[in-house]
Amino acid sequence: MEREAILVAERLTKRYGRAVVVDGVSFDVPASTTFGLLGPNGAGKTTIVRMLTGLAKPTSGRVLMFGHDMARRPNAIKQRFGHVYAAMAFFPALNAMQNLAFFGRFYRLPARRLQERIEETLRFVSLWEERRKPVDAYSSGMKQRLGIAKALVHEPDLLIFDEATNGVDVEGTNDIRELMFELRARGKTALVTSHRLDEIELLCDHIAILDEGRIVRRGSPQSIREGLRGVLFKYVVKRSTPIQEEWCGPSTTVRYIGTANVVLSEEDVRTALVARFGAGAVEEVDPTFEEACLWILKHPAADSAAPKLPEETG
Amino acid sequence: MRDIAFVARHFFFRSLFSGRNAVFFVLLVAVLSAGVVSMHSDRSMFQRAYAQGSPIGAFDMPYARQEVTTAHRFVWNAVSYRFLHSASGRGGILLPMRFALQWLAFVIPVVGLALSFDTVSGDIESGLAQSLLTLPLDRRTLGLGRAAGECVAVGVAVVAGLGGVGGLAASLLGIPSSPEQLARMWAMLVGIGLLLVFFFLLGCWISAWARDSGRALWLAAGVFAAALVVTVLFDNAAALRDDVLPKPPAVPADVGVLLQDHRIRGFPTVEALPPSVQSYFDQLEDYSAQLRRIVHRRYQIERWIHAVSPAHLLLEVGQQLLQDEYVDAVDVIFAEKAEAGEPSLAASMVRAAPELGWLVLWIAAVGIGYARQLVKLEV
Repeated sequence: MEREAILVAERLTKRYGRAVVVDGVSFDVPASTTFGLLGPNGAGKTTIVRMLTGLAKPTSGRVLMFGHDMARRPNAIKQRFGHVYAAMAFFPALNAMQNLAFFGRFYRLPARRLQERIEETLRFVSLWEERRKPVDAYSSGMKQRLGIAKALVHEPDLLIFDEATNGVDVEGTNDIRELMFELRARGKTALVTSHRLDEIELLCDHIAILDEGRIVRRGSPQSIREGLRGVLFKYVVKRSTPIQEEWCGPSTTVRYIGTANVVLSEEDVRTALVARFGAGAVEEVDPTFEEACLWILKHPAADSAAPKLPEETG
Repeated sequence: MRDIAFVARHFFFRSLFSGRNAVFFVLLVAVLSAGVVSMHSDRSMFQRAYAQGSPIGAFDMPYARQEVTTAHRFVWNAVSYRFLHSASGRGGILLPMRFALQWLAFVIPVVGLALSFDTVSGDIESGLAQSLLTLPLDRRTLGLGRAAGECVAVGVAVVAGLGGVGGLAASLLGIPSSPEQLARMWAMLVGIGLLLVFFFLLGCWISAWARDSGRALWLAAGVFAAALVVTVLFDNAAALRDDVLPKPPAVPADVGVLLQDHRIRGFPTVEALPPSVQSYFDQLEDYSAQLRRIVHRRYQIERWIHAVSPAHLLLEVGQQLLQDEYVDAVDVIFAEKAEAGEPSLAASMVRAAPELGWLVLWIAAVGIGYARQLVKLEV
């Protein structure tokens, strides 16, 4: 059954002078799903999130959330989403509770309910014990967790995570990911932007891959991988020499077979590898989601047929 | 409205004990203390000069013994602030404020801009702006509520700094302070507050426009430099020059004797004055009336010119509230008139109303500009 879309981006375009940062991007986020926007730095992910959250105005196109147009009823929309972004900032001299009380106050929760929510969310992000410390004394990971608490304090219908684990150490990143998984398990609708592909694959039901301000591929992680069947392929070469152990996709392995500017079919590649390493050493495996995404970003226009190998360099 | 009040309260408490506010407080204390010291030394100098009949005293008549230009200088001194500051018995606790005001007209713009130039840009750089601007709250409410809270916090520093030092000086130095003078002082503090609000909002506007604290700092410095140039250029824009003043009446020798003698035996009644002296004082009345008209006309022209310079508006307000305007200053030449005719607080407020009105208009203009910039702001 088709779920109702609670967020619809319609032909969003953002220009700064002559530079087109986002170019006619459209997508929708159904309720109780996690939607991922991924792409390299500069692809336009954060600019899209800024337009979705009302921090920037689209040059053209519009954002509809919960049935409201962001340009017309921004406050009705802001009332219903929570936003977590990279390097969250708070009032440094205030503690976690005071910060949440300040931000939470604008969401019209009754005072008693707000206090309950502050406790619930601080416990959820494991900061209850640290609630009286000034935020200035928090690590970056703790601040991001507090950011999640801030995003949740008013019980929003949609969570927007914009590179939420950026600049956080490994331990902090794991904590934040666990919280995001927990929220997903609770059925929260979320939009996630990240350049961490493993994170997106595990979290998201649907993704859109962005490149230079345009969506170049969309679908579920599974369907994106399957869509490349017959186009992207991967062979593992079972040899003990470390540098030649894995042979992944045409674009990354040209240097090993010394071929330049040739179009190879899957069979040609296999033949070349078998000739090079021996039949017993070559095994075909499925490319990972990360490899699929990297291939898509390198070949944004290609969606079928064997890829052209890039020019040999070494 | 509740949201504005909440935002204002939050930022009030956040700013009240901030380092910048403390620096501002210390600066105000220093400026008013300097005013107290200046007043004290100036007053002592005048009293010594008056007692000794020193040539630097403004009462050192007669003019006939002086060159005309020197006489003009004495007249100019008589109508100048300096003369008034030296006049014992006028001003009391308001005098140090009057001295301080000449500095405050420059300090307040610096402080207003320094407190606010990174209000918005600092939040953008720290990342706090994203949290604030995704709140379900009108941006104008947020920006103006915040500015209001921070302005009130600075206002507390103004009252504590100027009021506190004023009170301390009054009690330690025995400066007279009547209830009316205190009321004038409070009214003056409101004027200072308005100038501060103007420059504070201007700094916020610059900050929102620049979006980068470095750029905002340079812009604020440029705006202050421009304000300084305007202030200097427009200062005494319609000032009196020697050549526009009428020639003072010739002074018979016995007037000089009389003026020197009255310290010992008191000023005689008009009937007791010799005819030559009476005639001289009649001429002096005419001369005074001519001066009054010239000074008043020039003063009215200046008031209009100064409307473009908010710092000058404060000086004009001070002129009405802290001392009489030029036209009354001329009357100080006649001691008995000066004692008789100080305007009431209400009259001074009415006279200061145009300047206060201009200040409010300036504040409204920058407030609207800031609010519009906030609505357009993208982070």
